[in-house]
Amino acid sequence: MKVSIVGLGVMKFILYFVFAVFQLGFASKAHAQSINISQMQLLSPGPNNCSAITLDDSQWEVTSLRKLPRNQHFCLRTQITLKENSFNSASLYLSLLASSKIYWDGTLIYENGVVAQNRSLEQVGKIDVIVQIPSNLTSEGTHYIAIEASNFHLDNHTKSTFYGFRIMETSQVYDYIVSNSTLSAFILGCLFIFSVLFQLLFWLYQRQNNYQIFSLLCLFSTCLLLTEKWRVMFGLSYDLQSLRLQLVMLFTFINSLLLPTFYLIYNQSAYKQRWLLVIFTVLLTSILLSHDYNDKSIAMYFSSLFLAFSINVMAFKNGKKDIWANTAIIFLAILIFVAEPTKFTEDRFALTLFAIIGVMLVSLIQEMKNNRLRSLASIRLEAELLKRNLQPHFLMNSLMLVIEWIEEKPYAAAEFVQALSEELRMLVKFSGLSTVPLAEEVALCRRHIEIMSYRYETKYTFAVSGLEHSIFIPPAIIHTQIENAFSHNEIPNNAHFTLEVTREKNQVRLILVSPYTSNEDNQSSHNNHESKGIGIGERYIKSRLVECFHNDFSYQSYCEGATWINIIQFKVNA
Amino acid sequence: MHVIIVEDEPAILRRLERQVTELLGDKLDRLKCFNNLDDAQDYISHQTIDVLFLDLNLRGKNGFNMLSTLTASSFHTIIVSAYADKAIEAFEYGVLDFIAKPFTKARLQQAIIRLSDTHQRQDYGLRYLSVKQASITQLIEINQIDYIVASGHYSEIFFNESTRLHDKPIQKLLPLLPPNFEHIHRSYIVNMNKVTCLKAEPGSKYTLTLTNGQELPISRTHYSKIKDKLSS
Repeated sequence: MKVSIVGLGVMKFILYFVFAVFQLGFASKAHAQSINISQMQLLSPGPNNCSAITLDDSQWEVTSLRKLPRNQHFCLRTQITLKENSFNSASLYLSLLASSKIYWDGTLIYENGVVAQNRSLEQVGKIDVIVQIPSNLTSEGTHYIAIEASNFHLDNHTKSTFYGFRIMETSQVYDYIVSNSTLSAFILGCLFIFSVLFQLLFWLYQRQNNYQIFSLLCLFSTCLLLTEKWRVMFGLSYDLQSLRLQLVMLFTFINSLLLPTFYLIYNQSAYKQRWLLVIFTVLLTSILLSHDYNDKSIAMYFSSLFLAFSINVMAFKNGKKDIWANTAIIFLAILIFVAEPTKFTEDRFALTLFAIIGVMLVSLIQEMKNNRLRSLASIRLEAELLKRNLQPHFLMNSLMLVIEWIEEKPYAAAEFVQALSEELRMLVKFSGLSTVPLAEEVALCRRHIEIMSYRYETKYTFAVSGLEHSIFIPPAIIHTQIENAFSHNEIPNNAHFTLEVTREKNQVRLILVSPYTSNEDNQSSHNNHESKGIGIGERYIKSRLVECFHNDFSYQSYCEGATWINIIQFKVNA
Repeated sequence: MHVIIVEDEPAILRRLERQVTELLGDKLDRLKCFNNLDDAQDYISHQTIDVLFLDLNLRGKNGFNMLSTLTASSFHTIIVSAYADKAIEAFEYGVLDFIAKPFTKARLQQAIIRLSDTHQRQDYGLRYLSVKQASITQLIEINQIDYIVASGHYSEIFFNESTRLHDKPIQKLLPLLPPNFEHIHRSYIVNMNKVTCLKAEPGSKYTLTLTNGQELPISRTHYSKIKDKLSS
């Protein structure tokens, strides 16, 4: 039932995600109508005036815009032919690491920074330029475009200096910017709020490493997306591009580290340190093996997805079934990446990360709910332990004996009250704990057996072998077994109980052997579990074991001849 | 009076034995103690006893199965137990009294008084009368009973058009029954909820008619009491 509710939430999330990716696909198709310019005639260093229509540029070399000169002043020219009604209103979009002056048919239509012949005179322009071309200049026929540019502030780290040059419909440009910025702003806002929320949860609600890692992951994703989108959203001077790419790489590295780490902690995976070492090594290798900033970031993020996927698959195999949704979304992200690796850096990166974080959020909230239920269950167990021991048969029968002995042999009464209060004190102490040292549990059992010896005026014995001080068990579980033996059995006088503790590596086995007399009453109750007393005791033992060892334990209880045998097996952390 | 006590804790057994002996005094003919119910049942099957003091673990269904077998017998059963929360249920099955541990001598005395005083009624109502038939114990719901007739040392219970024989004589049943059961004759107890009318016939002969049409005789000594009860 629980799984299906989480499943529904996650399914919705995945659907939205797929929908968003599709939308982006349509949005990019819309760009197809624009005129892309990838080659121009180049003169470097450029002449003083390169804008005149009459300028003879026949000797200039035709060059790809991807191979422009660096730290130079240069001039680019080209001609385009516009058909009638090509555009309602045309805009020019140029993305270039340079300061520039843009001329249309010899008219200056935009000045980006101050173009100059040397570094000291140049004033740095923005990377992305969008200019609406005056409508009187976009008539049918041939048009001359000239760009005078200088890029003296370029540094050596940036490989490519050109990102795009096209003439397109003005409304399309704004649609693109608005939709891109809105989506980015939305994701940024969400991530930032998650980050703050989980910091608050960590400091004010529960110090869970999960929350801290998740919050950091959201925070650094916010940083990453903000640096990534800053260019489009706020504009960026071209000399800062190198710094921006370095920051992107740094934040990608941190995110790629945090993503698999989150799952290590969330899944409580074994060998955490070894995994961390692997993650670190893989990320460093991916940085070293790729050449430019962009490739490094992509390699790191992909490795990180792959590691997270592996960690989750292993956790799933080890029985953590509710991790399937996280595994699925990461798998989807890997698929999207593999399908079109080049487009991944644009928006899909942000979207996949956001989707993964969304599924993480659902899982964390589910975990919170489970923790709350678990803590309620543990309060209930605590109360149950106290109630069982403060209720009729034990306490009242004991008090009856005290009354009798006060008259018959006052000295024994005092001793008995002493032993009784000792046991009750231990039980009260135990009730607030989720585990106790085995030695203390044994001491409690001895007290109980001593009290029963007083009550039945005999001498019961309890032998313990192989007791180890490093073993911890849930409180009062062996005590409950002994109590059950007394209340559902006629224990013969001078009967003997034994507890055998064995340990092989980290596997611990506790075998309690109690005397057992078969009679009609306990036979049917053991067979049919009709007797509420045994049922409550057994339930208590099992709930405590589940609380402490989850499903990593075994509990057997059976009769063998004149003995009743209880075996508890569990693993201790080495 | 022939009394047996079943208690597994030796000190408590000694206490019960001592106090019952003191409280019953001359009335006590024989007192026998057991530390388990099996031995006691062996004894009961050969001896006629008047009262059983019993420490019975009433947790679960088994305790009550055992109890209904005991209450179907001719003797009274008094439970002495730490399970005070089971008292009401025990009364429903027909025990004469339920003494919660730890108990005082005064409380024990109250139970012993109840043994001989047949007019004192239970604070808690009986819900079932258990009757033995061959080796099976059957529970008859109290509301279903029309009337009970003395039959030698036994009682004959009439309910739902059928009859069963109970091992207790009607003097012993009456203290267990709720107040709507009345003596109308030396050998008749009737469930007043089942009465439709009271008739006086010539010659000071009185009869009660029940919902099922059955007519029962009322003795002159009980007539005015029954008449008051019906008119109120």
